This record gives sequence, structure tokens and C-alpha cells, in this order.
Amino acid sequence: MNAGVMLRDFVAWGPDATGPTRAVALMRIGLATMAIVRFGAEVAPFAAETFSELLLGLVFFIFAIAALLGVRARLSIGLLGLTIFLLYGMRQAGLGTAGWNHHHVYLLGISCIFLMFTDCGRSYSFDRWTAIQSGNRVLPEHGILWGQRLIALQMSALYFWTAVDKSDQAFISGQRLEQIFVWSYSGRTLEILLASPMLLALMSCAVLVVEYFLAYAILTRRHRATAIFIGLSMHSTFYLLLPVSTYSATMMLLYLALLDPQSVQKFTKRIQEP
Amino acid sequence: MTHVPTPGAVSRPQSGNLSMLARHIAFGLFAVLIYLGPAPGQIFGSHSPWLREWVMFSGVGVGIPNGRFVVRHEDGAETMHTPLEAADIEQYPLILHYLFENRIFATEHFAHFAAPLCATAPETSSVRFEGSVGTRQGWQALKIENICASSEGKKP
Repeated sequence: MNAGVMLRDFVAWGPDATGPTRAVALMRIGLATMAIVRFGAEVAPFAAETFSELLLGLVFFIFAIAALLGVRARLSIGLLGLTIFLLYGMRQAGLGTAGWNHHHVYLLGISCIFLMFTDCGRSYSFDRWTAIQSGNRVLPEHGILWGQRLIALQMSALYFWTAVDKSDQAFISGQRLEQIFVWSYSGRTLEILLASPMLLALMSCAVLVVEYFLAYAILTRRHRATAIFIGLSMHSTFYLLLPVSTYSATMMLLYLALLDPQSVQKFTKRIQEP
Repeated sequence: MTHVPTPGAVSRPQSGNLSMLARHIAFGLFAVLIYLGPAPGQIFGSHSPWLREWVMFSGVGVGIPNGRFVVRHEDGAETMHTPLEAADIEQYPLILHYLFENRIFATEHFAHFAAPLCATAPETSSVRFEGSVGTRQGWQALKIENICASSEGKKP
């Protein structure tokens, strides 16, 4: 295949992507819910100590609820993403609460912003419901999806760079995983996992291989089904074994971005309209 | 009755128009940022708060001792203590690891970590650590003598 054809295929897959919108609508609902779960208790009015914090909390909840319900969906999910990045930036500047500048917060924020570049309000939204109720022109459940492709690229890059970070002797030998387990499990039931350094080394190598594989495979049609199964299994394991906050749950939700939007549309139609 | 246009009638990119060009440029810039953004920090060590690096959990366990604290009494008898026993905690707290104040980054921090043990050990005894401490490069083997005498256990 020559470079021109590859570029044309990439443009069709990426910036020119269009298709059914139920998958991105489900992602919008999921990400808004995830944001409320992650920040709700920390920015809620009851926790505010200053007027600025109260205002910040109100802004966060307005955008989060609007994104969840699909009120001016693209705008609200984008503004929710920007609000999450405001919290992220505040922590980078030494303000706010510890953890706001963590990777899972960045992932949540950037995913909301990328979802703004999809027609995520054309399905499962207040916008659609009001258009139907009022008898106005209802837009089809079909639209631009290039933001969905950016999310897929972000996932691939995340897997690649986290694998790069692990590509050293300290990780492959199992030492870094042992450190994590010493911190997490000392004095707890799962301390038994520290008994076998060989097992830790095997687990480390497995994680490294899987992350490099996922970086490539989630973007290929040929390996996608295998990659989704392996990726969801890995994130489920992380969620059960480590205090990862909303990271694993967000990643699992973002796997919707890897599915064929047409397949998601067909599946949801089949279960909703038997 | 509601009017539902066909899918092909909406959002189909119009070749040659300005919005398509802007979308292509934006997609390209985002793609470059996504893939190359972590490179300066993760490859060249040039860290920036604006370029996200993906190094999840790489610092967890850094500064945590793995080994034993040994109290040698005046009569030569020795008693062993795990790091948790030396710090007088049942588990490491389920908080963000870097908020744990007792992490060890220098030999003098051992006294701070094992302050409860130092407080209960007889004055005529000596306390040493045998084992290793977590670093980003793996476990660093250490044997530290007279921990309690090394400093007042204060961290900067």
C-alpha cells in the first residue's frame, strides 16, 4: 500500500470520521458520571471553604449534570472537560486537593474535551428528547466522530508510554511491582503475593508485553477483539488489586471508542427494540 | 410529525471547505501532542506540567523500607522488628503514597521512620536496619547502624 492511500485511509478514519452516535452518547453519560464520582465529594458546596470554591463547585456540577443529561451536549461535555483541567491546573499550581493532578484526572478531562468533537448529543440526550417532543426537526443519530478517534489515539499513546516507563531492569525483574505491593499489601491479606519474587517478575513481564501489544492492537481491525478482551481483563485486575481511583473504570469506559459505532448502534437497537 | 433527515445529509465533510481544513489541522496537532507530548519528559528528562507523562504508579513504594530493624541489647541479645512494627503502624495508610511523611530518601530519615521503635528501645541498646529501600531504580540494599543515634529523626 503506498503512502498516498495510507494517508487517505487515515484521514477517512480520523478527521473525516462520521457514523452512528450512540457509542459516543454512552461515553458522554459515562464520563459525566465518572467526573461526579471522582470529584463530587471534593467540590460539592458542603466542602467549600471560600466563595471561589463554592462557585467552582457549582460550575462543575452544572456542566457535569448538563453533560450527563445531554443538555447542549457537545458544549456541556467540553466545558466539563475544561473545568476538570482547571482543577488539574490548580493542583499543578499547588492549590486544591492532592490527587487532582494525577493521570486519571488528566485522562478524564482530555476525554471530555475530545468528546466535544463528536455529535454526542444526537443520541440519549435531553436535546434529542426536546426536539422530538416539540415536533421540530430531529437530527439523525449520525454525525461527526473525529473526537472518538482522538480518544482511541490517546489510549494507544497512554499504553505505549507507560510501557516505555516500565522498560527497565527494575520493572522487568519484578522489583518495582514488589515495591508497589509492599506499600499496598504489607499487613494486609494480599501480603501473600509478596512471597514469590518469580511470580512478581512474571507478572511484570506480562504487564509490559500486554501494554506494548495494546498500544498497537487497539488501533488495528485484525487484533481489536483480542485487544479489547485482554485490555478489559487487565484493567479489571488493576481495579481489584490496586487503589487506582477512577483510572481503570475510565479506561474501561473509553473502550467504547474502539468499537465500531455501527455495531454499537445495532446492538443498542436490538436490545431496545426487540 | 418530525422530520428526520437522512444520515448522509448531515455532518458529511465538505471537501475543500475551511472547516474541513481546520478539522484536519486540529486533528493533526492533537495527534502530535498525544503521541509526542510525553517524549521530552520520559526520554530526555525535560519535565513540563503542560506535557502529560504516563508513568502511573512508578513512584509507589519509593522510600519504603523492605527488611528488618534489629535492636541489639546491652547483653548482646537481638530482637527483630518488621518495618511496620518499627513505625508502629499496622499497614501503610491507604492514602496517596507521596503524602506518607515517613518515606526514606536519606539515611537520616530512618530515625524518623523508626521513631516509635527508638522511643521504646532501651538507651543502652542500638538499633540497625538490614535490608533495602525502594527507589525508582529498584531496591537499594542498605545496612544502617545506630539509627536512633544518627539524628533526631527530623525530616526537612
